[in-house]
Amino acid sequence: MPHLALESVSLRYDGGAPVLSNVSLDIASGEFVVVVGRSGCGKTSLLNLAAGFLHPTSGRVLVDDRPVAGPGAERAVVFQNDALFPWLSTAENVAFAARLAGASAAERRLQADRALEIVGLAGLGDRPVWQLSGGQRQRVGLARALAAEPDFLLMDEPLGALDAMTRETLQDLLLQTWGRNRAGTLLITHGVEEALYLATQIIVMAPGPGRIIRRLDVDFGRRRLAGESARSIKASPAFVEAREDLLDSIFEREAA
Amino acid sequence: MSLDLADTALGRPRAAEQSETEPSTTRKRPVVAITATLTIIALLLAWTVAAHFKLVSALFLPSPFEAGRAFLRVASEGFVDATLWQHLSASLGRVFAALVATTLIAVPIGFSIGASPIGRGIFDPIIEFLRPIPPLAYLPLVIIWFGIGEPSKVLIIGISMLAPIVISTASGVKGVDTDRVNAARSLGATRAQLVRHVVLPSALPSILTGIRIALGVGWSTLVAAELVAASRGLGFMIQSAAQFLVTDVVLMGILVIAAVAVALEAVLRWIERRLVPWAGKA
Repeated sequence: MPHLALESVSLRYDGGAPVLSNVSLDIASGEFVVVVGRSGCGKTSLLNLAAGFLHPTSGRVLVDDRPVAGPGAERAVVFQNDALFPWLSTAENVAFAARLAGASAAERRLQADRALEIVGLAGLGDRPVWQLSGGQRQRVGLARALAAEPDFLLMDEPLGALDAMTRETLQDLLLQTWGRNRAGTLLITHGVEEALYLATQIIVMAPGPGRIIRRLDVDFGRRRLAGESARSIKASPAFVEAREDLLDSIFEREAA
Repeated sequence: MSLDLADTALGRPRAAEQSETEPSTTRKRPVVAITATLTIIALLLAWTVAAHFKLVSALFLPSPFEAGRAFLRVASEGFVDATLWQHLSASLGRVFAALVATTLIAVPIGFSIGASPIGRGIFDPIIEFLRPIPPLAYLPLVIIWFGIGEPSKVLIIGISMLAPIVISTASGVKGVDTDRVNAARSLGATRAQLVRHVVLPSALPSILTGIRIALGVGWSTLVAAELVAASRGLGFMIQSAAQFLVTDVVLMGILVIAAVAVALEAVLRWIERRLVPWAGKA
């Protein structure tokens, strides 16, 4: 089973203070790991290490027990500011991995249409991406990652720049796609409710230097996938309690 | 100016907040267009009046009508053995030859400056050295080295175009969005694919802007280039006319050069809209 691991990873930029200190984490297929923490706690650096955009100062990043040398197509990334290619149509954006691999136009189109259907954008393949709304662009970013059929999906605050309502719709979309393809997922967020709603495991980080201060397992996402409504989950006493508990851990340091 | 203040800052603060600059710019556009038209009409009128009442000797300032007649005369009969169209196409040919050659050289140089410190170390001093030199200053050297043939003329124009294209290409390459590069890498792009599929298209708007600026610079270098033993060209036509004090042709030539510059700018802007419609939007 595909398996992504960070083993006692530390990160420090030349001459600077340490960004991450002794971080270990483990993502297997079918897991949805969400990292929460205040800004400056190294969440994004953590994701960049997992993606292979950064290399750890010490420690190891492993995929199936092999050290990661750089980015790879088995670890697709969804970015906060979508990072789409405006010179390509929506469909060509989605099929970008296939384009790089030299797939024919017909193959690319087929793949793009399939992925666009999954993210609810069927029929928009010919649109220029710069004509899409923010929420649609994030869906395209997700479709592009899914089309590469990755073992792992790494998402850096993908819903951070969206309005509250679009965000809730896309949270459900993330849950559904994860429920279907079971790719091992790492999501960075600063939204506590988002973390609880989506995660199978939540990792709480604290700054100065960035480190993991807490891990907890949750199952609200599975309840959602089992058919319970989002409202009833988010209003349930267990959810509210977990949210307050989580907020306490995030802001613990500040109170002390 | 006072109108702008009333509109955006004081008069309708809410609307300005809601939709940023849109309403004020759409309302400004006709104002600018009307004012610009009035300015041109006023200048033409002043010129006509000055010529009509002989405020300036006709030898120095022919009337707009005489310039117009010169246009028709040179267009049909020609001046110094070539029609206006032949002069114009000679000039355009030189500028476009220079543009093509310079683009082929300048874009790769811009890439290496933007993408690698070594490339920057090699080319930056050369470009910074060439950039501020007026074409008339290197003209004699180009003649000594390359003679008075057509290549020298193209070279003079080409040198003046080099820096704008190199500098805009380099800044376009440097400005490539890191997330886009990372996105492509995580989807399996090799280094060569990154350049072709991400860096080049990202930098294209800047490259086109550089080409547009270069075309303007090259066009304004034309007269200098055609000082070199030319027998055709707008710059040559103006100089010959000046030697014989045919001031109406001089004036007409200047106006044609200005009109062509405006037309080139418009064509380049149209190309930019067609090729990079996303520029500034994403």
